[in-house]
Amino acid sequence: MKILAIETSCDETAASVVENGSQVLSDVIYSQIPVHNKYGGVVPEIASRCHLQAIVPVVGKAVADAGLEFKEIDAVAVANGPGLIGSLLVGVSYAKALAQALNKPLIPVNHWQGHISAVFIDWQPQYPFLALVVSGSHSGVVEVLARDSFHLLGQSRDDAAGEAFDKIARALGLGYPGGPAISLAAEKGDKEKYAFPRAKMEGYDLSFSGLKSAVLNHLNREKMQGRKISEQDVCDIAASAQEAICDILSAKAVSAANEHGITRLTLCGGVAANKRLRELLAERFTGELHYPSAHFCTDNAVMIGIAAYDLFLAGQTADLSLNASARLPLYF
Amino acid sequence: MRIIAIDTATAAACAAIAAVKDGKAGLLGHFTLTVGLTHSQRFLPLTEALLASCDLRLQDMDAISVTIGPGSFTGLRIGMATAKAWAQALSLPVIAVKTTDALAWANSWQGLTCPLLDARKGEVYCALYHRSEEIWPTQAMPPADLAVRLAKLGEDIRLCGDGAEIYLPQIAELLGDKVSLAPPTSRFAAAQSAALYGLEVLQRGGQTVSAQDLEPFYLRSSSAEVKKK
Ligand SMILES: [Zn+2]
Repeated sequence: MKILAIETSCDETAASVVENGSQVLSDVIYSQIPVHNKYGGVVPEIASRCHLQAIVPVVGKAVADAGLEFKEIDAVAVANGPGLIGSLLVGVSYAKALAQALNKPLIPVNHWQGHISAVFIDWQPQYPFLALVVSGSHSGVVEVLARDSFHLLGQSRDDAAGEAFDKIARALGLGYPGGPAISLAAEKGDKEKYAFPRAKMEGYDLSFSGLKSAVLNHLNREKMQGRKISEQDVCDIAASAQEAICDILSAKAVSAANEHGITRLTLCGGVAANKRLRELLAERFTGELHYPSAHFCTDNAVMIGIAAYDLFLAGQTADLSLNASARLPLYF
Repeated sequence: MRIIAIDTATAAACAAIAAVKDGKAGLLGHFTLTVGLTHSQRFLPLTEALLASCDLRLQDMDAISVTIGPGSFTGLRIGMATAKAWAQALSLPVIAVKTTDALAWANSWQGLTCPLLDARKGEVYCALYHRSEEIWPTQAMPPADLAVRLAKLGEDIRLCGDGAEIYLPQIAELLGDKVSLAPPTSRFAAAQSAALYGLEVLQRGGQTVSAQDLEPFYLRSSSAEVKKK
């Protein structure tokens, strides 16, 4: 079964054809990062406009790269949330109309389930496992009981971890996207120079806004007192902020796994590429660790195609009234 | 020769199918919803119902016509993404129609026609037509400015579009009974005229665009771009 999958949740327009949930026939990503770079973060209206511009060539290339014609596609899958509503709507409207024109089933996929499914490319999963999902728009801890059974244990109450990276990077003048920029600066910094606060949250929920504010306040204070932030200061702040974010994430994930008796942990989403986070997890977690390759950590459509196959087998298709949802919950 | 038209640029979601039969162009059917529910949920089921009612399928179409703006950015993108997918999957040409043009053609009469769309941020998108001829190009301006400009003309003017009823009182303050509302049956009928116009373009071998080249007419930059300038 050849599924054409479409992903437009944030600032990547992506399409892919995946056969039977495992064989990647094509994988096309148009990244808008250069467009948003000058604004220091994703501008939702600009992202929506870019998706509309890119969707036809991106999907056309995905179908052509797979060596197929549109009529040979067996189903159309689309990420319908969570994400930026304007961005999601372009992909969802397009995918629905495509399914209608081709007279094929339409499979809606939760973007988080997509991220979790990315790990299946390199790993034949054993259940249960715990997934730590971290990116620019989401951070949470998910217990995966079976291929189609997910239990959200906790998530960020405010900013996503990647969002905190982006905002701190912007304040430090390191550019967008913030995660890789902070990682790079942190390599030359002292991670113990500043003790930025780690919010204590109930259960497995997370919070990054206090930490972000502490960094921004520190920078403001220095500025008010007329002190110049040196290049070394930037690296020290980057290293200390990264340490705090990775400390919070790894501590939560490891305690969630241990308290649920889960011995397998996966890390997914854009922030999963962060080296320090991987180091901390390796130090603190005694069980098996699995990561998708860096390419499949960030938003892509292959992960949507993999998840869609499982959903299709479970009978989870949608009709043409399918809507996009910025806060689509992950529940099964 | 058959065409299906899409209009989701304003508060109304409309689709229309037109065909040429025995050399004559006419509408086969049109559906309009102004129930205030999201176009994203309502529009495609509406097209399914319309196609089924006409005993046709998308595959029976020779072209697609779509209103490209101005209008609600989100609404526009729903319609444009739909047009792009249909056109790409079925290799159909697209006829792009400005929302204001389509509304003016649907409501033309002996006087002047002013399509008026809610542009938020204290503005309206508007244009002015005499029959199908554009007198003022489509632009965004505060409704008070539009009222003053219309009043200066001192002619009979008919308003249409989703801003017509909202701004009628404000314009009538200056223009009195020279300004009136287009009848509710045609006030939002952009899809019908887009369908008929599309057929006409096809018949005379006029300009069509591909799925990829179809571009919206936003009229306004995103606010971030504006701030950056
Ligand atoms: Zn993501």
